[in-house]
Amino acid sequence: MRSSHRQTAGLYIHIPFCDSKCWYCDFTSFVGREGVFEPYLGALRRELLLRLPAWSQVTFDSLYVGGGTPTVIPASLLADFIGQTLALIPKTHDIEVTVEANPSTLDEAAVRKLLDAGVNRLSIGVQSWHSEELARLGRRHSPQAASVAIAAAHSAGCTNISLDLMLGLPAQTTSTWDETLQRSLALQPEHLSVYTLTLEPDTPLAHEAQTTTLDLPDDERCAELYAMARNSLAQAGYGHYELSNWARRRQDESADARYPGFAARHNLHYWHNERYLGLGVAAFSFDGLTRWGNTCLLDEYLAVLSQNRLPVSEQESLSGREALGETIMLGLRLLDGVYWDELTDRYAIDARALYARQIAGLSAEGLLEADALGMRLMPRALYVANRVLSEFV
Amino acid sequence: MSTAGFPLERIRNFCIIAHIDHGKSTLSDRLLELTGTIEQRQMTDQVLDSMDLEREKGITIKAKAVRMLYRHSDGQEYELNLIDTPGHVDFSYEVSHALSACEGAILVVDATQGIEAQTLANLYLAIDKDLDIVPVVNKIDLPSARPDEVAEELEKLIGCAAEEVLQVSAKEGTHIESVLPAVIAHIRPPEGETDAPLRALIFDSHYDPYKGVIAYLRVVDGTVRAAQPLLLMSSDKVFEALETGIFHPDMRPIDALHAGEVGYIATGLKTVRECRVGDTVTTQADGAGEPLFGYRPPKPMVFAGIYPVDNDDYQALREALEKLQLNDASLIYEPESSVALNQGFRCGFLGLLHMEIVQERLEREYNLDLIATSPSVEYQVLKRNGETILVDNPEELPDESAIEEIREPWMHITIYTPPDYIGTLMDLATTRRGEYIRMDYLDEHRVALEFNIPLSEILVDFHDELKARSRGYGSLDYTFSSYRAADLTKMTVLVNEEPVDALSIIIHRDQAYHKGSAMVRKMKEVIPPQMFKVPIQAAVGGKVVARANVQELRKDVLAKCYGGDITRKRKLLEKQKEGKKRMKRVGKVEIPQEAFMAVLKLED
Ligand SMILES: Nc1nc2c(ncn2[C@@H]2O[C@H](COP(=O)(O)OP(=O)(O)OP(=O)(O)O)[C@@H](O)[C@H]2O)c(=O)[nH]1
Ligand code: SF4
Ligand SMILES: [Mg+2]
Repeated sequence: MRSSHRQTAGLYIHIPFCDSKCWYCDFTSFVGREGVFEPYLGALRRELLLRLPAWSQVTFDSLYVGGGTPTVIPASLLADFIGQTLALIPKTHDIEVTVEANPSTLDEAAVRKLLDAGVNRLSIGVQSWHSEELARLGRRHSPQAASVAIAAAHSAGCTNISLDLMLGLPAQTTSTWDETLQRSLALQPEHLSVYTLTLEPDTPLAHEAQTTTLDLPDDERCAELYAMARNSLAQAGYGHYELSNWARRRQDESADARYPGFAARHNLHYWHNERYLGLGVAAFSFDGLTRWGNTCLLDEYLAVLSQNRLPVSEQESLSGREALGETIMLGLRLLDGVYWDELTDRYAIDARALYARQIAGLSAEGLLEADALGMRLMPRALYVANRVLSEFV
Repeated sequence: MSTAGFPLERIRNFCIIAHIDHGKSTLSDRLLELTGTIEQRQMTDQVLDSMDLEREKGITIKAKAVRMLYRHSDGQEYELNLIDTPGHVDFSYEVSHALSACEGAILVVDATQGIEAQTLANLYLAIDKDLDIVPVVNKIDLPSARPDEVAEELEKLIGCAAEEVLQVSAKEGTHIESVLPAVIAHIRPPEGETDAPLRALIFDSHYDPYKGVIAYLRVVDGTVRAAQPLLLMSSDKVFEALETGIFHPDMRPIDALHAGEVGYIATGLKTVRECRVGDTVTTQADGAGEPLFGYRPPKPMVFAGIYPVDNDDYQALREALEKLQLNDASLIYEPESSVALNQGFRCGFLGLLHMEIVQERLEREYNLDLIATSPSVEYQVLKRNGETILVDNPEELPDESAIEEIREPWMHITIYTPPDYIGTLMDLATTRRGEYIRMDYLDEHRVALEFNIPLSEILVDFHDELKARSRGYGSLDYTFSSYRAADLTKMTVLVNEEPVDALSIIIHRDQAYHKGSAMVRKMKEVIPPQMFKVPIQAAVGGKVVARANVQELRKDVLAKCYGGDITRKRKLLEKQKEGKKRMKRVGKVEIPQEAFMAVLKLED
């Protein structure tokens, strides 16, 4: 937000393919569409070319290839595509280039190809180090596969690895979660994300929950698991900079930096409510005024782009006041919170006065801390953040 | 539009009155169509119900005046001023104001329901004012209609010949063409002298930010024009009207309003207190000596505090109440304060629907977020020192040691029902402490049951229950009867160990445990979960009679926010916030409006 006038933005590319569908998944991803990998990459390129003129004054400082499972695409094909994309976009010299991967799809040769193409960060969906927990999620990989994949990434020379973990899994206990945390920490990743499993309607897991007892930890237990993560990661020297995200500091970094050095630059764009361009099926974009989302249908996406048209299916623009609320809703996810001067600079609205009642109430409940500089969640509020965030939308 | 003034004999001023839902507004639609007052393409169902709230609830809340021009079979053009009125009991003051602007009334009766409580109540109001009555049986298109029988009921009631009672379907337009000729034939033209000193009755008003108070007038004598010094006779306020006009039904300026006519003047007055419904307008020079009879303000049945959720809105609420009062002369209010809720107003209402409508209108029309406290009736308290006081706020109940006796208001109610339901309705009234007085067969279809019953017993659910037990055929009318002594006491509610004065209620002592536990159970349901343990206690005479804890807040450690789909995230949060309107923070806890209304529904 100090960066609100900065002309940098993130680029997101959605690869909607997976080897198999996990049982909890409601992301847009398709299985068994290997035949359209190449046409899809072609369509992405076309969408990028259609969009670039309007984004010509911005410099991209992050590229995030997410999914789905980008690494189900053969490594050389994916690496070529990433290389070409980087060549097309205006970018900073130190652009962060992340690829999401599943453990079962990574080997050393593949990582090497990606690194050669410009990738410098891998986000690996480990989720759990417990084979039974993984099995109940319908994840294909085993804990062993995760160790092998991470070792391969390291030996290929990747120096910035993020691991995704999940809590609130069926039959998860404090001891299995502790094991997951410890085994993750032993690998010394630069970055860790911890998300809660949610039962999305119409997923196999949600259906299962209706017919059998899944033995899901309740909200109290999830809060306990989350507290364990906070403790263990803090002890291991990770900075908790966003509700679900932790990162290590860089060696040369000053102690009072706003975020730890290995914080995900790409996601910071989201939390700062800054611009990002999203390409691909079901990708979202925000150009600073308008948000839009692409079609969720793969064939429609391909067809529309084959006619060189944009695949937008929904769009909304927010008023200044709504945008301010959104910026606060997103900014409060960051433990550093939001700053009054930045909000005023950006929206010419005195946020502190506008939300005086909400702020006073939340402060009285001990959920929010507000001072002359800004406001941020109190530690106890991390467990009930939606309660706080909803006051500002 | 012609301004020379219609000859009086070609003017008719009439309102449409009926029991709720008998089709007044629908009949108005047809008359507006027939006279071409509203163009076909602007027509909607119940077009005069123009307030959003009216459309949402499907009922008329405000009486609405509209001028129609009609070419009669005698070849002459007539000026017809119609006022559509509400049928719900809570708004009967609207009817009585409208009646005093008219010489006659169309009495609409639903052919399937027959004569009901407000048919009678409104009819008697009209007869009291000596109005000519044109009876109309409506909804003859319905299969269960029994128009001839209903016409006979009307014959017995008002002495008209049953064959002369018009039978129409307002919905389908059947026989609508017979209505206006009957109005012209049976309702007398207004009297009054255009050359006499001006006397005009303000029968309604509203506030316009540009034109100030708009006063709705029935001109009795003389002529009123813009730019002429006028006088409000009871407040002695002199002003010049910015505009005179008629309702079409939107406001249309015209040069002048003459004796016998209905219309409005824009007074330009910004201080709303100076212009009151019921006042008489005359000219400053050569004005009238005597004002017209005014209105007696109706007596409120229920009282509640209204408070802004945001304390800073107190002034805004004061102004909103002043302005709303112009448009709702039955609303009364005075400042009050509460430890829990800060500064607000004690308001008197004609019933719970009226209370709900006032709160909604204040919120919608003046953009406020409000909390209403638990409604209370007005008690009489005889103190040991011999003094008698009226208490409509439980917090004002004196200390028990100072009280000799507390008396609660009793009502005289009349239930009209087909004979089939006598048993179940008797049972309903007696379980609510009703005392049977008498039963009269009005005819073979209709029985009138009379009871004395405490007001607090009929305030909630009674009417719904009556409707349910009589399959919709029963109806109810009530008047104040007397105050009677009862063993009453105050129950206080403590949230998080602190008494919340606005939640106090007056109850019967022998119900203390029962009501206390119902109360805390209800509070537990409606107060949103909290971060910490919050006890709720009900206490009578300093003794806790029931307690419960508010649920603790669900933990919501966050799920993955997928690839920048921030809109979805925001919408989820917006949904969570939805439930947060009408919540007032008391200490650390936010108390929702339902909590204050919960006291009304302690039985279930
Ligand atoms: N079948 C039938 N329905 C009718 C007729 N007239 C009115 N209705 C229906 O009866 C309902 C009530 O009609 P309104 O015109 O709103 O009744 P109202 O007397 O103005 O009601 P309030 O103003 O709330 O007292 C509506 O659903 C109308 O469509 C009719 O002639 N036939
Ligand atoms: S890998 Fe991710 S996107 Fe693919 S099915 Fe599993 S959860 Fe869904
Ligand atoms: Mg109506």
